[in-house]
Amino acid sequence: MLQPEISDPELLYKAIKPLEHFWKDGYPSSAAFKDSKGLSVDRDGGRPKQEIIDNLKSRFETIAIVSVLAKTCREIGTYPVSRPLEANIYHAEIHRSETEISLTSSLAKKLRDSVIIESLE
Amino acid sequence: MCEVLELENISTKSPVIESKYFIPNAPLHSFAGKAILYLAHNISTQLPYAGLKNLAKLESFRHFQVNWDGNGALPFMEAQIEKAKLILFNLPKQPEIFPTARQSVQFEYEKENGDYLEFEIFEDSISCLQIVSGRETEHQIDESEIFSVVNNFYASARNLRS
Repeated sequence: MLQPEISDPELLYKAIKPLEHFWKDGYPSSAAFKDSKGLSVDRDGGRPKQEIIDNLKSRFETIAIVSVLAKTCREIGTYPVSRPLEANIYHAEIHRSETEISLTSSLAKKLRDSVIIESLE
Repeated sequence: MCEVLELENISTKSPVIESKYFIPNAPLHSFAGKAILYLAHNISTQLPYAGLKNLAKLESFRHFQVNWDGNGALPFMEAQIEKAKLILFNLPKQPEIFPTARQSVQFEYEKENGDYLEFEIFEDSISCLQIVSGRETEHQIDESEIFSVVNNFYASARNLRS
């Protein structure tokens, strides 16, 4: 059963689209991590990596998929929070803090510098 | 008659620029007029192609529909794109340009040594993030200050080399 708290060893996956607008020198811009509604991610929830990637690919068109550890998110000062949806129980968001949603430019840059590219189409 | 560049034909993969002829007394508030001013202002100091490519990219943001990022992002407003374009015309060096899902346009400069300068242009404000030699500052900035901030960012590197 999926725990409501996101644990430190969990990976958080982010789908990035459209590719042509966010990519720079083989890496996404920090602009891809700025969202006024909270940065939408999928928790791994103990699923195999390929299952998560295939699921994200089925929900988005041409995309890149990046991942970051929940622990890393906390270390750089962001606040990952579980936000399950009816259609996706693994949905989560990365916020600026417990009370603020949108990341500062500095936090978005740190997050961008921390992600690993899992898939790129 | 003078020559202007057809922005729609600029692609990052095939830098083919088609030229057309244009009547010079076209209003300068038109997009073509601004492009001419931009070229006249910058042709001797930097790469006009980078500027035109950026203009074309900004123009492409106009076509974003609701949910353009797959996560419900809203389209850009006309005034935001125009504001970003006017700032772009006055920059001493061309940045990388990106959209965000919080209705802002991001201008980025990054040096090989990791020094980083970013402007995030909102409808009613501009934020500036600067990381130089590991020292980070983030603050609101006035539109009139951007030119000198970019100049100083690159001047610091020139001073270090000399």
